[in-house]
Amino acid sequence: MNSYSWSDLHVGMSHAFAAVVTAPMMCHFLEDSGDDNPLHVDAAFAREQGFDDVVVYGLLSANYYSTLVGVYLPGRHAVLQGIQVDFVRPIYVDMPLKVRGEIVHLSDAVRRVEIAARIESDSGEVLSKAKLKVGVRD
Amino acid sequence: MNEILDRLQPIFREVLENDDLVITEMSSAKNIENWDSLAHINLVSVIEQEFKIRFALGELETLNNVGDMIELMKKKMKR
Repeated sequence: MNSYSWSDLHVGMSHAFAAVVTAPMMCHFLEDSGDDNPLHVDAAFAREQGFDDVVVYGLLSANYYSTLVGVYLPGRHAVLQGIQVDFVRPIYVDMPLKVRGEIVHLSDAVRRVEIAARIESDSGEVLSKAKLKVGVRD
Repeated sequence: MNEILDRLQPIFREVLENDDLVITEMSSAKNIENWDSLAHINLVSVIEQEFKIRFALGELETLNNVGDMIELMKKKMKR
């Protein structure tokens, strides 16, 4: 886990990590959330809707934005205050993903950073993008 | 001051999620609904980015209302 302090942070600072959503993660999310929409659990239904397979829950993929903030940028001293997220393209189970984030603004007066983040496929296609509002308490 | 107030108006409406909100120089967290601590952080961040200024730690704590904030903003925008 990173442990950046406020004085370490600057606009342009970035971090990226690899991720993948697995079938057991989908099952756990189904169990925890109760969201049994067939788009996420029934491959035949998903194909009928024009997708390649069951679609990963948007909020399951978005958990990597929490990881980005809480573990890497800034890490230990982070308090996630808000997320604005767009699910641009479908994410599928076992698809290799890259999660990236870059600080685009710092507010000294209120100790808040804003991070432009995205999840990409291994070919660089943007699958999800988000604006993350993060308080820093160090 | 009115020009800055005019530019602040839509920012406050969006951040405080009130399309009918009308702010004045006397507006403050005490008399504006939904202006809580997190909304305050959001306002500061959006204002900094919109006006391309930065407030320093502690600088906002002495301000009593929007009019005080506008005066501080005017000083920063001259620099």
